[in-house]
Amino acid sequence: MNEIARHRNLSIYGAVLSLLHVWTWISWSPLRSNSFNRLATEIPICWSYFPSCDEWRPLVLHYLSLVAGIYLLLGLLSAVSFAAKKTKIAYWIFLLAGVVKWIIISIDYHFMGNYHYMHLAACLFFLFVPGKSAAIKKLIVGFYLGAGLLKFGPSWLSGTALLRPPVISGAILDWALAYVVVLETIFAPLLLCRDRRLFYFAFVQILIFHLFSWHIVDSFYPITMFGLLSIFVIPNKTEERPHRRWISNAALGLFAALQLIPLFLFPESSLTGEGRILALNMLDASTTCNNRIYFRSANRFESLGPVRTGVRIRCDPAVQIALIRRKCRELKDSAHPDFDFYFWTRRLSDKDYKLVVARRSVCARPLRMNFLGGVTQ
Amino acid sequence: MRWLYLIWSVAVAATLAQALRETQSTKEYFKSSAFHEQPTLLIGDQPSNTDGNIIMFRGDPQRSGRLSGRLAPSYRESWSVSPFNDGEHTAAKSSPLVDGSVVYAASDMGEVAAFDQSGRRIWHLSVPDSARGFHSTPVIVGDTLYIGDYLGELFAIERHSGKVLWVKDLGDAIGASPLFHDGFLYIVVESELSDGYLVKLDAVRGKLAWSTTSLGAQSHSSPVMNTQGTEIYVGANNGQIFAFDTRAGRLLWKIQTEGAIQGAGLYADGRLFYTNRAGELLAVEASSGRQLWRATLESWSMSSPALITENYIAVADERKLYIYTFAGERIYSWPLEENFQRSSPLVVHEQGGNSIVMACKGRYLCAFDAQSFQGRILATLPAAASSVPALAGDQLYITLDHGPLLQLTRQPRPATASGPIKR
Repeated sequence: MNEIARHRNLSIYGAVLSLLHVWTWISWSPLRSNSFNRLATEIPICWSYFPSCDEWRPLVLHYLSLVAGIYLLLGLLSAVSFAAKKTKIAYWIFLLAGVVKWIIISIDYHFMGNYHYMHLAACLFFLFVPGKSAAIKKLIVGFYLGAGLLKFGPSWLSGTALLRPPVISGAILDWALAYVVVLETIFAPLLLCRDRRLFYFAFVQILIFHLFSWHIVDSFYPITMFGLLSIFVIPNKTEERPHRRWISNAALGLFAALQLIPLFLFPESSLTGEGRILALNMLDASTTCNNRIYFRSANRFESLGPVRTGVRIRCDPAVQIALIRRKCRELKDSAHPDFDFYFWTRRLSDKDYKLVVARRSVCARPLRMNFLGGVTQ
Repeated sequence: MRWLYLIWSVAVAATLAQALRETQSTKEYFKSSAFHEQPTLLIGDQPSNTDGNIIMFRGDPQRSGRLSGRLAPSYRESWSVSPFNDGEHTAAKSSPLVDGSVVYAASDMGEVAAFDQSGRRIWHLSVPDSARGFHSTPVIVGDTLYIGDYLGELFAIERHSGKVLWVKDLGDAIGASPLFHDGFLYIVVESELSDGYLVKLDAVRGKLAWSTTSLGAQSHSSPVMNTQGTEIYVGANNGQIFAFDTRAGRLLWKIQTEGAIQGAGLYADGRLFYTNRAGELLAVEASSGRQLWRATLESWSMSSPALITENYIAVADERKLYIYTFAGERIYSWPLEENFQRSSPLVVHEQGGNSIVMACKGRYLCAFDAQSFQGRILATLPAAASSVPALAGDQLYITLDHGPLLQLTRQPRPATASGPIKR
């Protein structure tokens, strides 16, 4: 807290991060995606660490407007407080805003998003890690490196991971996709360079990249990134004294480990969902999937769904488990209350599908997710 | 740090170059093939049993459409199962198969079932979310029945109990009928992207052997095989006929015709016979794809030719039934007196001659003598039929387009509807 009070740039950055809370609220509100209101009608999809979210849904819906309003207020208040240099009060309001954001996200997997992951990570560093300015800059470079490491494969380089077709195509698109990998893994670290020419060489390209991505990923992500990147350009008149650097290094090491764990331990995480909760997984793959249920007692095949979700999560096993839970509830008193479940998926750049789940009697023996999002029974 | 950065950059560049090569290889694959293998879902505890009788659409892998039997003077309805077919899709309906005293039939309402001689349902499998149900005719191999649905799934079903052994999603739709030969199934699959391909599966566990390159269009044309079992032929909606080798699925030749090919072909004596929607009957040399001759029918055709004897085939278009020689000479024709006729002739080889059985005059089943050219009405049907009837002893089974599955039993007297059918 003292560090924020001593450095004007951190107060300004705190205000920016607070405004990103407001921007998040806007994004969830009827002004944009209307995620708050859609919770009432959409199937509950639970995070692995909150598997019974559907049982809490009536209570959540009852208080959701209040919580959303509190979230908006906290974002605004902390922004104003940081701008007015009321550091102590701003700090606690800002902390509370982060907690409320995390609570809202935990209500339903529909709220999942890499931009929220990055924003909350930056908030945590801002709140708790000493040497904030330097640490957050390194964290942001870590975001790009983490994102870039996911792009070394046909999913990205063929363009199938893009959410929408871009305005460029053909060979220009191929080169652009390869360029993004270079930008994120080779040029992005130059943001930490003391040589201002090298810094601006990287920074300007990154700005242009996010501007260009607007028509593909819509506005929320680029604006969030502009907010996070502002740490690099907010003037800093007071030099930071490096102290307790080990905390900063440990925090960055932890962040790096969280990105690398799924990459090496769960290489199929874009298909199985396992490990995705730990790391960034933006545009790691666009997937397509199928499910089938088989009623043994009736000798009948059906499918579960469809379900309205974002493109990014539509093939996550969490969604399938939500569908199974709903179907089991519907069938509870019927003549055929149980079924076998089969689920398979592939990245759009893969030739073949992978069977992710094949289980009998999933109502009598419900599927569950472990903490990392992998399916168990 | 500078050196570290340099090493890192080189490592990234090298990895990126490798990834780009892999991506290029993937793109090349997708240019030529729409097929993405989906897992075989092992439902039952046992694999398929394929020892024993083989019964398939048109009787054999050459799709001769010919069987030995004895036709009654006429038939009357003895029982019906209703509702059975109810859909509007213009593809021909699934034809029933009979083995002994059990008849197997599949409906466009998403049910495949077995019935005993009295019409009692022994078992059924339902796929209610398949909007077009089943149009493909099953193939029976030993104790297993295989059938494809309009969601693109191929089912292996234990045919005495109806229990599903395995199911494999092959694509977006299966409208054509599978072919079985030497332990493998050959299935034509449709893709929603107006494309299709042929796949070969091991019949015991549903393991993929190969899939072909894209046909460039969807296909309702059931695959046909040569007598040696070395080549397999498929027609498609783009008017092309393809030949693939059965061992590796390699394309041997393809030719272009003037209209969509929607019936199965017929292989006989080294020749392939196909009809198309441009109203052509074509004969093609099977080994090379060289066109031998082309005849113009009087209307479009979705029908599969049938072998009468060596040197003669029966073929139908929307309005007429014809006999042609292998050399392309039209010998005879009968008016079927209906529009939008989609059924295929069935040749019944009887003692003393051959009869051609066809749906005709809208709601009748007719028989045409291939020697005397006399036609007669076999039975009155409650609705039109695009499927091919199955003959078993004194019974005929047929599925109707907007109507039931029927069992027809022989009558000693001719049908009372209007008499012989003249040329």
